[in-house]
Amino acid sequence: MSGAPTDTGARAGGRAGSTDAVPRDGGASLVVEDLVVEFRTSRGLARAVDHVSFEVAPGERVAIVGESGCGKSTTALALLGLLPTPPAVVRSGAARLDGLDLLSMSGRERRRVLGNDVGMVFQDALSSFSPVAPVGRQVTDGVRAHEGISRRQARDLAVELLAEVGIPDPARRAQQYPHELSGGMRQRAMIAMALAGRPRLLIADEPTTALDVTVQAQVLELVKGLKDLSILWITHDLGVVASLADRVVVMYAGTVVEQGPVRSIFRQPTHPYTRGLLRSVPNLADDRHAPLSSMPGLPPDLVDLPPGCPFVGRCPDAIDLCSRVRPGLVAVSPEQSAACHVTTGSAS
Amino acid sequence: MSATTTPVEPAGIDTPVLAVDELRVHFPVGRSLGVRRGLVKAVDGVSFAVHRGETLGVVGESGCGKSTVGMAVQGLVPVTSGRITVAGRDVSRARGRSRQAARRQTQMIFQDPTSSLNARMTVGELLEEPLVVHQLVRPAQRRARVLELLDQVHLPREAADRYPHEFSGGQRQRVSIARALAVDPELIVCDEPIASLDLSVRAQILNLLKELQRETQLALLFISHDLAAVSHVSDRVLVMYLGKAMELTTRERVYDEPVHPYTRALLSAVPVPDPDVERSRQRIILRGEVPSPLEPPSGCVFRTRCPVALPVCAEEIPAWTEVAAVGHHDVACHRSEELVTDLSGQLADDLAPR
Repeated sequence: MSGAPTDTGARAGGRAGSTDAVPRDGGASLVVEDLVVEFRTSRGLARAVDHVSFEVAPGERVAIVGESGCGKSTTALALLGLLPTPPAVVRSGAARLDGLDLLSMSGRERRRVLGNDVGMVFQDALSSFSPVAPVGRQVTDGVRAHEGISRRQARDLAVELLAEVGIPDPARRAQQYPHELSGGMRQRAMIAMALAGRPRLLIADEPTTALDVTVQAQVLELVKGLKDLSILWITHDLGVVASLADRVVVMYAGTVVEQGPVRSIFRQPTHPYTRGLLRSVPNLADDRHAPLSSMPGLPPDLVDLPPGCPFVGRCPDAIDLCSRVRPGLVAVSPEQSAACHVTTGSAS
Repeated sequence: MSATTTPVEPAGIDTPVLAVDELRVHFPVGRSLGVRRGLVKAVDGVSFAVHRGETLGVVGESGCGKSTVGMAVQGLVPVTSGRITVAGRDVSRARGRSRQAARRQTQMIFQDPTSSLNARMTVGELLEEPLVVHQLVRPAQRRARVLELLDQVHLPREAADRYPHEFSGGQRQRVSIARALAVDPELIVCDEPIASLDLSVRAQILNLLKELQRETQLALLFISHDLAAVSHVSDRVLVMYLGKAMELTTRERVYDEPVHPYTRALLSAVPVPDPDVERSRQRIILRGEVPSPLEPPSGCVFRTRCPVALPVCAEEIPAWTEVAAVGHHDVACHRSEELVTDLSGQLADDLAPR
């Protein structure tokens, strides 16, 4: 974490597209503002990401947490320009990496910026590698494209990177093909690939979900040891969030329902969805005899969202207002905000 | 425990619903050019019992054989050796009519209800099918039984006339559970029943299973990689690694006083949803990954990753022994007695989370 005071330009909001933003030590800043993404489906437009805003300060580790269909992966893919369009349409919004808006760039510019500053890790390492090239070459392909280093330098760098992520016998592994590596090793190799360009922001979408817990523990340990890097980590695992994140963004039905420092989110969750989620997850430290509190119902249909709060149908605290007016994020403390008429007291 | 000398007991009040004795399930793999390349010992000498109204959790990482245990119990994979008795009756080699009778006593629910339910049948038809196959209910009463099953799993009665795709994952899993319940089984094998479900829905399914168990005294074999979920539903827990049983005891003892170094490492690896705990907590980080089941290590299969392995661990397979000091706590580890009694000194240092 960078100890330096930071001005991400986020809340000022007026630095859109400013190109003079100064890169800082300790990672890049990412500011996502008012992102809206829709998908064309046979049943109509599905609003997968609905006015989402959040930020990652330099050196900060932010987790986006939510269930499937909440828009967490779509958000990440949108800001990386990796959504298939069509069916996806980015309706509005900005995603500023150190002040540069990724969404308004040409594909070419964006590739340059992403290649230099952003590393990506996905859940399924096997499909992120080409099956027909050795792992070592793929780990450094990006760097070779962006920095024009020699084949030999690239080879040395690949071995160095594989060693760095804890792959034993890296020189031999670099020569092997993806299918010859175990799942945990492939995931490490993908992290090595993401780190190859010395990125200042790492975007990771459920990178440990497919791993066994003892291997997940190794990967989390590795990631926690990375310095000078901002991290956006997308997961549904609240244990991983508690272990890794500085700050948490909770998403539900395409919207941010709550965000704040990890400790306050777990200790004083404000949104009824966050509360319900935390209570419904079995915890090794819990009283094992009590039944889990479970949330009734299901998330709403993204093609046919209710006019008010998307959580209204499942909410134990809902009042009349909730089904009519969509609540916005309201600060409940200097660092924490939630989108709820009732629990934030904004209705009265 | 020996596979050959234990007589089959008559079904009585103390007879476990399920008794698995020295179960081995081995698969030949990779024939190339007519030469067999290897043998995967998916389950290699595992013994346990499940009693009426009890839930036995089976945990372990991929390749540990937990799902194969479940499939062997349900008769879905051939048993290489050992015995499986359901309510006192040996079913491990049952065929034909007796196999079918055994299948009625044990039912199975799977991870993915979408692929385990026939998409072309209505929920009502899906629930009627086992009644027809096992000739349990007169045709005139089948519909009533279907509605009763829907009530039991808290699905609306209208669900009977709808198709699986019209339901969410959690609701479909309820249909799977109702279908398993249809034949009044003694035991349900639940193989990763919540792994494909969303967070907020998992608790609903776990609570439903517990509720049904309270009502019917069902026995459950709950197979999962999710240690927190297993701790929540199980009375006793079996920890497996690479086809072998490592530790078997009550849930309290497994989670609060685990003996086996693997159990300790596994528990230590699970991130707990509490930032204060996570930030203050030290972990036992195991080196490497689970070895290939085609070439399991000699002696104790865990020794290549074990922080306290001794030379003997490479030479001898550790016996499955009851920890004398406590009872009802079985462990396969050469150092189990030391680990129970002498947790100071070097052994403790080596196993200390760092």
